[in-house]
Amino acid sequence: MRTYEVILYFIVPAAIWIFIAWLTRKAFEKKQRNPQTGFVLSLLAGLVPYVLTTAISTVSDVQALLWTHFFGFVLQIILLVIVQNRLPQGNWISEEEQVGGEARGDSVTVVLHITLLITGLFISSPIWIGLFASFKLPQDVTNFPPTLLPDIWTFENYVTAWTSVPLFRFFMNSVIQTGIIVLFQVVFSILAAYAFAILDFPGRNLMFYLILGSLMVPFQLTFIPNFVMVSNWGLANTHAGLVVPFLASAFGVFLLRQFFMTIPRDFFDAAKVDGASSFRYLWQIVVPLSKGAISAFATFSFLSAWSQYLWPLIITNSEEMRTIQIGIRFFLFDQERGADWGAIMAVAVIALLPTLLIFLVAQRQLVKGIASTGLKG
Amino acid sequence: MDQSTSNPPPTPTVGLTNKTKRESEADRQRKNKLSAAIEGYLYLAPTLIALTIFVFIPVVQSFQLSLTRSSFGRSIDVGFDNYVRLFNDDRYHDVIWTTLKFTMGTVPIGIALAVVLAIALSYPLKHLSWFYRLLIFVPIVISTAVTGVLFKWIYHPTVGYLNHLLGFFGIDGPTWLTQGDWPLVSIIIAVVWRQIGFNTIIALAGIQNIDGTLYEAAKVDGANLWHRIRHITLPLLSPTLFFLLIINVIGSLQVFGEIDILTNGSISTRTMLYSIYFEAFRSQNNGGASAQAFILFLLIVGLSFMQFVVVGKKVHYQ
Repeated sequence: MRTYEVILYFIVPAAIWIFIAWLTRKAFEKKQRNPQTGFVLSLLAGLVPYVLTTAISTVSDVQALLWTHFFGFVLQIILLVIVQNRLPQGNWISEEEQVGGEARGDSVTVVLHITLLITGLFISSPIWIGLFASFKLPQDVTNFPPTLLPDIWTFENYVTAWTSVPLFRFFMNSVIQTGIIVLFQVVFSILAAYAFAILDFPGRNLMFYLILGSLMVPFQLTFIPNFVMVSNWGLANTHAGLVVPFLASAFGVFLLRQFFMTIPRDFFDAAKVDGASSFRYLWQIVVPLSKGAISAFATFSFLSAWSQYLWPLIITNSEEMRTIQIGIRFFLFDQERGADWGAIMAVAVIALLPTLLIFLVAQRQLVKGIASTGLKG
Repeated sequence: MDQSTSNPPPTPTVGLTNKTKRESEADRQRKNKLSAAIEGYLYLAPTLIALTIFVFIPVVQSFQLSLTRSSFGRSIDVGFDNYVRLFNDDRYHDVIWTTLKFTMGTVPIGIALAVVLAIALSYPLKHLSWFYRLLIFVPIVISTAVTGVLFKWIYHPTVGYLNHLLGFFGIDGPTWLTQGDWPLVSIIIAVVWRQIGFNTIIALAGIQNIDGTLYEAAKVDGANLWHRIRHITLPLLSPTLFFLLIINVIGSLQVFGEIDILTNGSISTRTMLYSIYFEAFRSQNNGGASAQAFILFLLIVGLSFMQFVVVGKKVHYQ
């Protein structure tokens, strides 16, 4: 597939769909109807550009077209979720209190637009470069001089990567590892944060400082004893071994405690008078009220678990237990001599895709969360 | 729950029956206190147990291990011999020197870039500012392994984009990952890139926190953009900058993935953390590795403490 064909069958339908989705959303907001209906409507509308572009298609390779449509559809769903999350209004800061004062349409604005666009594209360029390289023909990847866009777009590198390493296995190992870590960290942190923020019992402050103190202990100090211990338990090279050292998160406890403390005390007293147990209060009042903070922490937890490198590297020693991050390392080193860079980039794209999606969908919460850690110190 | 404070104190009354009443009241309170304690610790138990097993005990074990000569399995007590050895070991001096160069390379550049970007991003644009933020923040979600792989490709000696780009400016790029001091520079660039999103977000949040009326006042006084940045933004940003400084120094001490993937920890890029890994898992010397780990730990605790003290002061100051 040539670049113009990719644009025609992949980007154009997606763009049209997004536009339609945006329009329906606006329309529904104006009429104050249920946005879910709008969502469904725009989902249906998304089929129209497909039918149109397929009708005028001149591509003889039907299979390639179908693949493109499949990926186009996936991309569209993602983009639609982003639109639903109002990413385009992602200004998480007030517009007034800023270096330059209020928005103006002057020359500074124009220069700034251009500078920011170029800087932004430059900063994100390693990702583009890798992404585009993964779609090139294997023999084109190391052409000189290097080009940014592929001449011919293919999934060949993905097929190569898929068949030469157990990529699906790597990916699932990462999913299992990340899923378990996030689940445990979130649940454990909610419980502990609740005790610190709302309950009152002897030794509470001491325990809090103890947990806070563990934030100062870097993993670099503890990973050797942890390795010895986990190996002695016979958990080396197992999923359990991958996750056990990270089941609790002092950071999560701290973050959620800060949030739980903002819930008015009266709620608790009222629930108490009504005879609710403390667990019921946690489950039915505190957790629903703190959805934002909990999901922000879950996002953090997800990102750091997915990106883990040192621990999975030392605790796994067989190919089928590697996470995607470690899989890519060994794939790279195995290939070093006659490196098949297209396939390596395909693995890299698969490794970064989940986190990239999370970023696109939850950008605002993530940025807010990070910003607040900085402000509180 | 603090039953004792929410209940009115028992009213003082006279007579024998009242005395027993008061006793049972105290009894109930004691029971409440006990059940509150049990309840509280039940909520804490999962976190406390996990942290004890995987953080607190290993700290102690790590120190004990650093006093032995041991590989996985056997060990002999050697006192502070490992520390003395490190103290006299030229290779370890090189490791510290490399770490220092690495930190001095990543931290100032990373923070300076972040501040410039944050100032540019803080300018109010009606359209597309979310898009620029997206492009600049996106490296925060890229893992260290993927960063390493992407940059290995960019640094490729023959078809790498970096040398190609430099070629446009008539510069003949080095072979990044093997030649002289360039491997360390390569890793510094990759790490600065990975941290740029995080640093810019923090810097931007700091800038947003500055009182906007100050700028208005400065404008009325005729201060230009540079003056406003120099005399308002930067001084008021100093707590944020200090936070970034400490966080980045600690972060740079913890870099592992990029080093492993880009240079496989070749001697000129072996930082303190990589050296710990190398000592433990390639040289099978857990004792020496733990001694190195403890030195790194003390360094990080010191830095965290500094951060705690200074930020604590700043909070009072404001």
